[in-house]
Amino acid sequence: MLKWMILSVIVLFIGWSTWRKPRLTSSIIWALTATVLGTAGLLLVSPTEFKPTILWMALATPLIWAGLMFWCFWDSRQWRPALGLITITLLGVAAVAVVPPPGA
Amino acid sequence: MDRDRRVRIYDAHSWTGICLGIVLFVVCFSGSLAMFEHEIMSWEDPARRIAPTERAVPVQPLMDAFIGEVDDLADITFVGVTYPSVTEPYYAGQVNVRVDDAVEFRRRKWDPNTGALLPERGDGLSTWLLDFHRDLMWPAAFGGRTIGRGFVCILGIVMMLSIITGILTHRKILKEFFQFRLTKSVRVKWKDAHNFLGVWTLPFSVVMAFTGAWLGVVALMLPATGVLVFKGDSEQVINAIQGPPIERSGISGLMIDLDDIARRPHSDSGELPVSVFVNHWGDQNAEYTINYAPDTELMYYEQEKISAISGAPLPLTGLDAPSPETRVLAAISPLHYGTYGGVALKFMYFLLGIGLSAMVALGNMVWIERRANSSEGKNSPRFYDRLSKLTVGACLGIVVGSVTIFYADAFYVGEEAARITRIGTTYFGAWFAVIAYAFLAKNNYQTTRRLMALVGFGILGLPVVSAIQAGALPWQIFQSGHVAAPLVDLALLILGFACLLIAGKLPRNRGSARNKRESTPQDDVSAATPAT
Repeated sequence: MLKWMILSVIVLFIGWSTWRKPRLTSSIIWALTATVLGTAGLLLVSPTEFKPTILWMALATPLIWAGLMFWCFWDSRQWRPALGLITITLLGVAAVAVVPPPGA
Repeated sequence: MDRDRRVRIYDAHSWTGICLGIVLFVVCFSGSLAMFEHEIMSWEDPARRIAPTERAVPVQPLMDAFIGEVDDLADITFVGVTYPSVTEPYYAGQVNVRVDDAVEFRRRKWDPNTGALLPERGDGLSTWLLDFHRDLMWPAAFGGRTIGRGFVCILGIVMMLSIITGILTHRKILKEFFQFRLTKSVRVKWKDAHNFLGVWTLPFSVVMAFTGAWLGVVALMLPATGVLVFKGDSEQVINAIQGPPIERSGISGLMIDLDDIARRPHSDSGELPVSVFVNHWGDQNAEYTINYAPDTELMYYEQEKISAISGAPLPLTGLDAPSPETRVLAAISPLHYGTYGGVALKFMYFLLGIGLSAMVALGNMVWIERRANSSEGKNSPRFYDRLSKLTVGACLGIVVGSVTIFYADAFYVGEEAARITRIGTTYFGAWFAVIAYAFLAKNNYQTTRRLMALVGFGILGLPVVSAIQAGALPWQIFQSGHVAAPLVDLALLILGFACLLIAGKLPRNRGSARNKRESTPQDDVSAATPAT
């Protein structure tokens, strides 16, 4: 119960801060979630061999993360990066939930 | 670029600096010292100042006796032997043993001239310098080292963001290569120094930010990917990358002598082994992974794998298998720690690291100065004064703390297991004392001068302490054939005098009225702020 309450508070806080400061919240939170879940989703749906893909993906992760953070400040519309990053995160979540793990 | 975008990017650059600048300074400065871990290892322990020998005693009986202390060979998860080198002129053995559910790391060091066991020394100065940079020695009570490493990774990402936004913010980047207006106000000088150091250290900063972020990503992202991709099983990620592990056969076998391995040249380069890792000690399936100095390659080691029983070559697997991606990955650590070009390159890395640290601190000071002494600042002058004192105290505190732990390690008396704790308390004690001093002192400029002079004198005292402890002068140790410790002494002497020189050149106060008149608002905003 306590775990769900804490989780709910975190979700509500992220939602509220996204609404109030979409650019800042995107660069701090959504860029990270989009990087982690986006790369995980890409790994799952990628038709290439798992080992080289995960290693290249790991190499690219810092660049992707920093690039997404930068996009949050570059884009003239404050909601575009926020929505883009939320979409990537949700797509990643969908891939993780639906696609079976490699070798399964 | 339109004005709004330039303002946003400038704000991102300055706010990331002001929020995380001090922590970035800590990581950059500690990294500059962490590179010399192996050299400092010999310096901190007089027992390790051994002259290299042509006739080393065999290491095999030493390792046999060491392994003999383990009841069941099946409990051994790893055996490593490092042969004597210039920086570490002794045999070093490591045996990892599974005890209950944990793994115990056991280490021994032997004098290669006599085979005598070197006195056991707990983790101290060199360990602190490296690990504080890698994971901030993050306490286990708050999640342990992985959290610390993840935090350092995030700093790497922030640094990458700062570099990108910094490049875009500075429109006159070519001019800034050579711009250093020494006759202007303190603020302009700081801004010029920030820009000058920024552009000259740019390639280095990019490499450090990327490789540093990546080294943290491994700790942070691999478990996360395991949880996500393999539905909670992070072990599966390691198996998918490394391949299925070879099991023990349970049949004992006679392994090739470790001293024969020491004389086995690399098939291409002809280099002799630096170290050897042993998998499944004493078993029919035992393997040797032999590590060679990488010649001119950008990697830690060139490796060859052989059967420890027959000597037949075995294919390298997992991250050791040659492929474009593993080749790139193998280059990351050497790039980050500057291990691919000898001592000269390490010194260049050190200077660039110090330059990078200074750039970060100066960026913060420029930000504070501009707001404290113009209408741009929205807060009270007291607020900016405190922020300025915090920056000076925290940045110079880490420098003073780093020098202090050299003394703490040298004069430590007590149980070896508690050595690292004493080092840590001294480090933070000195750091907080300097922060407190910075807040109590009235003149920030004088504080900086005094602390810099303190650092200079502190560093100059270290070779003296070293000579007293070893009972021999640095050149006597050098003449005996040991190189690493006298080299550290020499570097400390140069560094100490450099700090005193800098302390002498630093201003005593904010600057003369004449200088203030010469600086105009345009001086400050010309290159670094959005176009108006």
